Amino acid sequence: MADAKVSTPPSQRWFVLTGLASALLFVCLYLIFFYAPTERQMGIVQKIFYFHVPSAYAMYCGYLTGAVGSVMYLWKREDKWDALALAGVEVGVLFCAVVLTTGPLWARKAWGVYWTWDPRLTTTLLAGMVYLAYLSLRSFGETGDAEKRFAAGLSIVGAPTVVLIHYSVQRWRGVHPTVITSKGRGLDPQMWVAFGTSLVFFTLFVAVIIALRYRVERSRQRVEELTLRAAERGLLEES
Amino acid sequence: MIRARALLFATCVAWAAFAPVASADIPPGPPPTPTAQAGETPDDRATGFEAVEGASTENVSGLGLMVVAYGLVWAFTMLYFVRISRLEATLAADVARLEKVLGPE
Repeated sequence: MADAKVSTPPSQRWFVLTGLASALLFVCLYLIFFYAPTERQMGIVQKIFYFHVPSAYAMYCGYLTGAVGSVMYLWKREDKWDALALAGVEVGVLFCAVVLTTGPLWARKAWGVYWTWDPRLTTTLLAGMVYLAYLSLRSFGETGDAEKRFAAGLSIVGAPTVVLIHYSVQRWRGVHPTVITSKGRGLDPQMWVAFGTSLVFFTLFVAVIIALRYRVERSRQRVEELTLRAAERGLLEES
Repeated sequence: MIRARALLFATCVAWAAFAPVASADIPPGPPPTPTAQAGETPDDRATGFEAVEGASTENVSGLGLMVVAYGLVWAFTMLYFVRISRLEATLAADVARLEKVLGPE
């Protein structure tokens, strides 16, 4: 096991980054509720869009970070990459949960039903389940090298579902809106401002959460390493 | 014990892989429409029309759904932050305890 660094107190850079994300959140909320106009057909419920779509984007970022961490772990066999993979997947699943709960609420008003087996909805659920399996393996399995390698493989296998989610709406006919793609009619300019700001906020937000989760996982690896060292010296019984 | 965990994990993976596929095989229902009501079957809509009682207005509040959606985003992220901060505090205490046990290296 590679030496895990001891968890250090958050630096000033951390507070600046977190403060910036918090400030941007308030700007986002102002733009969403006071600047962007209400959508003509769907009404106020369309404002879910400004958090729903960036959450999907944050989910992609999480899953892709997980895949990059997994590939690097299989290549380098360094625990820091395994920690990055776990952080990415966990944050990806968090935002997947956000997408899969905010979407149906919007759908209830827009389509009249909470859920329909539309290609994009189905592929998003499928990806969520694949990565939930990854987290189950990490939670219930041992923390040995074999489990880490197996989990890395699972994360890499799950990565193509991200591409599948993104292109499902273009390849197969579905009811999910496609306003952001070239096939869609686009957004009102004021809606673009709110949406763009929200995307910037979510980029910052997902980076902060992944970095935070990474730190915690590195601490856990450090505890594991120290426990092993203490056990080897027969010190654990005394403590 | 390890075998039981492996079995549990295999079950989870199999469920994750095949549940959506199996569900996708179910023939799709009627295309969703804004007027579809919960508990209403296609036959109900196809074989009879009934007059609306009271004012003819949309009974699903868009504002309510939006508030719930934003509330859920807040709740999910807050719960996650609480979990992470608790985990970090526990691990920091463990590191301190173990470093004390091991002494200066």
